[in-house]
Amino acid sequence: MQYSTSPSNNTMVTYRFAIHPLHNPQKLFETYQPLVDYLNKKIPTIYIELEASRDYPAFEKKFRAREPDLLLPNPWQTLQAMDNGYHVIAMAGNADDFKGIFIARKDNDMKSPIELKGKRVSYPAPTALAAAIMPQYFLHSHGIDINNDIDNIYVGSQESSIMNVYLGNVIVGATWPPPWRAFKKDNPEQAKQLKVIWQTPALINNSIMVRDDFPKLVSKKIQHLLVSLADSAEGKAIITNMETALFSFAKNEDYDVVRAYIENFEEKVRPVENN
Amino acid sequence: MIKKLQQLVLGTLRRQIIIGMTIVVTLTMGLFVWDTTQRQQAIKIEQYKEQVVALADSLATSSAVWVASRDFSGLQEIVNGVSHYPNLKHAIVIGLQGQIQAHSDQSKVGLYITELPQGSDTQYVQLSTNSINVTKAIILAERKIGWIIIGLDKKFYLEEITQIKIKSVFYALTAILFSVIITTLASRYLTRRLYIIQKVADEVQTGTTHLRVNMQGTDEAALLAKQFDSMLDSLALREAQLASFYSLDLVGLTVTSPDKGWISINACLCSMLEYSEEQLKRMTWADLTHPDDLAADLEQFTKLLANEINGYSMEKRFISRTNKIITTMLVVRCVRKDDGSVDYVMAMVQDISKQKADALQIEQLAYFDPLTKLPNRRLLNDRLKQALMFSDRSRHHGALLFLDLDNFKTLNDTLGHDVGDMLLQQVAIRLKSIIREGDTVTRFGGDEFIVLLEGLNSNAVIAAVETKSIVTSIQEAINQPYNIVGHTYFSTTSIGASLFLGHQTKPDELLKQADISMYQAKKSGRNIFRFFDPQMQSTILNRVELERDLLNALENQQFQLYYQVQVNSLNKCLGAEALIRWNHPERGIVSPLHFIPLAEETGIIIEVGRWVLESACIQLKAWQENSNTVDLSLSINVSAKQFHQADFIEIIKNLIASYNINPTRLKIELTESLLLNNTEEVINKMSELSSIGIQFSLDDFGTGYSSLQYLKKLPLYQLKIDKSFVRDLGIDSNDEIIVKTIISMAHSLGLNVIAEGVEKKEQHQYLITQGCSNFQGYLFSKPVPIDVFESLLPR
Repeated sequence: MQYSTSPSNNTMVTYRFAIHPLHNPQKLFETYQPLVDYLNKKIPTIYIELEASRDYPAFEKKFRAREPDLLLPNPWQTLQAMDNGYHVIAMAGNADDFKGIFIARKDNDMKSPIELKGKRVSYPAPTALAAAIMPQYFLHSHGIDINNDIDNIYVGSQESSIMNVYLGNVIVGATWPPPWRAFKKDNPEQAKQLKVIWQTPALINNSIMVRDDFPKLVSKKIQHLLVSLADSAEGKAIITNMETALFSFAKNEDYDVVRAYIENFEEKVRPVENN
Repeated sequence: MIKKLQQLVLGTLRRQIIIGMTIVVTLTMGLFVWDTTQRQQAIKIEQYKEQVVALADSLATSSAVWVASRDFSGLQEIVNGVSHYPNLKHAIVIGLQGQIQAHSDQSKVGLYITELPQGSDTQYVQLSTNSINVTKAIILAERKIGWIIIGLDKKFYLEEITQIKIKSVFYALTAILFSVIITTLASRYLTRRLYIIQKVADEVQTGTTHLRVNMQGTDEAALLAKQFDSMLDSLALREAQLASFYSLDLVGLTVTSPDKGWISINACLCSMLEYSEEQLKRMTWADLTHPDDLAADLEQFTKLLANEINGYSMEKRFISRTNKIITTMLVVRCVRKDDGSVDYVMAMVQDISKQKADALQIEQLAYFDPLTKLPNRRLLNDRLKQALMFSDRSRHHGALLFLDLDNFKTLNDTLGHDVGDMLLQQVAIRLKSIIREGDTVTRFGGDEFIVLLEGLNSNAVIAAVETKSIVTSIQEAINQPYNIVGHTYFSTTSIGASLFLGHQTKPDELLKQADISMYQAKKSGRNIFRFFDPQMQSTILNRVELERDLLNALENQQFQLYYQVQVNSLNKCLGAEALIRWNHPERGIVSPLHFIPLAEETGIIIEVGRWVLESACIQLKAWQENSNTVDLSLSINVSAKQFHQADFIEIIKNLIASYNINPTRLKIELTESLLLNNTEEVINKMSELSSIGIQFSLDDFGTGYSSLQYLKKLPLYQLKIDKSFVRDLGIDSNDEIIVKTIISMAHSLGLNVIAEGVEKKEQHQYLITQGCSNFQGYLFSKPVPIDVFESLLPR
C-alpha cells in the first residue's frame, strides 16, 4: 500500500457542493447528482463534488468552517452562510413551495392543531426552517405553546420525520413539500397510509450560494446554467427528478425576509441557534 | 548391486504384493492429499476472499453516507468498528481523489493512496503472498463516491492450510501404514498356501524326498500343490530308477562339478578303486590316474571345459589303493549352464581289464605263433603294412629278411618233431635277442622266419650294408651250437633279403622277393645270404611256371629224343647223341638248356633221366636188330642227381637186361661238375658200369675244373671238347691251343676225343689236323627226330 501526501491526478479543480440534509444522503445523491453531473458536463474545466451531511449541525459546521465551495442551504442557513462569506447566486425552487406541512396517519381525525396538545411531534431538526421553524410558528399561531404543550422530537431528516409518523412514534410529523413528494414517489404504500393534515404559509425557498473566493466566472456560468435549466428537456428532467420547480436568480437581499421571520420566531417562539 | 537390491525388495511374492500395494496406496493417498489440500486451499482462499469482500462490501455500504457527507469522524468510527476483525491488516476509506478519509491506522488519514483502480469495475481483489487486498468502490445512488480497501493478513490462512496439509499427510501416512499392515496380512493369507508348497520344495531341495504338500481344496494353489506332488512322485520314481541304475555294480559312476568337485560316487567305482567314498572325495582325479594316461585325459577334459566337445570316451588306466592298475573304458559327458560353461561332469568307468586280457589272448592266438611266441604271418602282414607307411613318411629304407633253416627237414625227420620244435624255439629266442628294438621277428611257417627291419638308411646302398651287417649277426647267432635235450646240434640258415622304400612294392610282392632271394641263397649253397634282384625275379617266375609244366610233361609224353649224328674223320656215322626235347603245348620246342637245370633243381631230372635212359635202350635195341645200324652207339646225358641215385647202376643193368642190348653201344655223358663231389662214389659207379662195357664220355670238357688226377683215375672212354672252343677255331688262337692241348692230352691218356659244335669245314679240317677222330655238329647234321636220323643213314 503506497501512501502519498498529494493526490496522484491533480489536473482538475474540484469544488465541494454541500447540500443541507433535506434528504438522507442516499436520497440526496439520487436527487442532486444528476444536476451536479449536468453542471460538470457543461463546465468541463471544473469538477463539482456533491456532498451530503449527517445532520444540520454537521452541514452548518461545514460552511462555518468555509469548507464547501458551493452550498445549497435552507433559507435560515442562507443567512448563516452569508455571515461566513458565502453569497446567494440563485434560489432553488418555487418560493411558494417553501412551506411546512404536517403529516399524519390517514386514520388521524384531528380537526385542529390544538388537539396536538400533549402529543409528540417530529421534525427533522430544530433549525429546519420549512420543516421545523415554520411548522412550530404555525402551531404557535394556532395556540400551541410548543415549548410546553407538545413534545418536539428532532429526528435528523425529512424522511425520518415522515417515517416516525408512519411508525406511530409521533402523532404528527413536520416536513416540507419536496421531501413529501419524494416520499410518496419512493414509498407509495407507506404514503397511502399517511396524509397532509395542515400546511403553513409559504416563505422563500432554498438558495444556491458560492463562497466569496469562488471564481466569479464559474459562479456566473453556474448561475446561468441553473436558471436556464428549464429551457432544455435535459434540464427539465433534472428538475422533475429534484422535486423542485425551478432555479431562479436570487441575491443575498432576497433572504432578508427570512431574517425578519426568524427574528419574529425567536422573539415569539424560541431561539433558533444555540438551543 | 541393483540385482541384489531387487532381490531383497522383490524377492518374494509377498514382498511384491506388499511393495506393489504400498506403492499404489502411497500414490493414491499422495494424489488424494495433494488434491484435497489444493481444493482446501482454493476453498479457503475463496472463503477468505469472500470474507474480505463481504467486509469491504459492508464497510462500503455503511460508509457511503459518511463518505458522501465527508464525515471523517463518522467514517473513522466505522473503520474502528471493523478493526477488531481478526487478521485485518488495514481497513481504508478513500475518497475519489485518493485521499484517505479513514484508516485503521489513524495516522494515515489525510494521506493519498497513489494506486487506485481505474476503469468501471467496482471491486478488485489482489492476492499477495502474505495478504489479500480487496478494493471496493463505495457506491451511493449508483455513483462511485470513494473506495474501501480491506487488507487481510494471510498468516492465519496459511497456518490453516499448513494445518490441513499436516493433517492430510498424517492421515495419508496412517492410511499407508494401515494398507501395509492389511496388505501384509492379506498377502500372508493369499500366499500362505504357496509358502506351504515352497516349504516342501525347500525340504525336497535339501534332499527330503518323501515329503508331499497334500493340500486340500480346489483353488489355484491346491491345483498347483497337486501338480507339484505329482511331479515329486514322478521325480521320486525317476530318482529311484536312477538310483537303482546308479547303485548297479556294473559300472563305476561319478558326478563332479568344476566348482564343487566330487558330487557323488557310486559303490561300484569305490570298490573298483578300493577306496571308500570319503577317501575318494579327498583325492583328485589325477591322483587316481595312471601317469601315462594323465596327459590324454587332461587334454580331452580341457577341450570339454573349453566347450570344444561335449564328452569323450577313452581307454584309461586307474591306479587302485593297492596300486593295482585297472584298465577301464572311461566315458565322460557334461551338462552345461546357459553360458556354455560346464555345470556337471558325469563319468562312467567300466573295468575292462578282463576284456583286455581276453583280447590280448585272442590277439596272441591270432597274431602269435604258439610254439615260438613270435608274431605270426598275419601279424607280419600288419607290421609290414605299417612299416611301409612309416618308410613312406620317413623316407627310410626297410628290409625284409626271409630265413630258412638249412637241413631242418633232416633234423625233423631223423630226430622227431619235438626236437625240431625245440630247435625252432631256440632259434626264435636267438633271433629276438639279436634284432634291434623296433624290428620284428616272425615265424612265417615251418622252419621259415621273417625279420622285418625298419628305419634303415635312406640311401639304398648304405641300407643294404646295414642289412648285411644285421644278417651277419643273425647268422653268427644261428650258427652257434644248440643244446637240445643233452645233445649238441648245429644249424645254419639261408637268408634272402629285399629292401623296400615306401609303397613302391606291395607287401605280398616284398615277401615273394625275399622268398626268391632266400631261395637263391639256398641254391647258392647253405648259410648264404642273398639280396633280391628284379632281373632274377622274372627268371624265377618263368622258372616256376616251367616247373609246374615240367611236372606234367613226362606224364603227358611231351618229351622227345632228338638224335645228332657223330662221325669219324671219314665222315662215317658212328652213332648219335640223344638229346631230349620238350615239346611244350604252348611254348613249342623248349631247349634243354632251359628246363634241364629246373628239372635238376626240382628233382624231376630223376624221372626224366630214367625216361631218357629207357628210350635210349629201346632205340639201341631197334638198331641192334637192323644190320645197317647194329654198330651204332648212342650217347645219353646223365645228370649228377641221377647219377648219384643209389639205384642208378641197378636201373641201368635192369634196362640192359630187359631190352637185351649190347652195353658197349651205350655211352653215358657226364659233366665235369658231377665229378667234383663224392669222387670216390662216382669212380666206383663208373667203374662198375664200365666193367659191363658201358662207355663214359666227359661232356663239355675244358669248361670245368677237371683235375688231371681224376682223369687218370676215371674209367673214361672219351673226352668231348666243348663246343665253345670249337666255335672260335680259326678266330681265337687261344681256343686252337686249348683244343690242341685237349686232343694231345686225351691221346696221352689214351682216350678217344670227340669235338661237338662243329659247324664249318675249317673247324673240321683243323680238328682233323690236330688228331681229333670223332665229330659232332651242324656240319654233319643238326639233332633230328629218329625217323629223319635213320633216313640220313647210308643204306
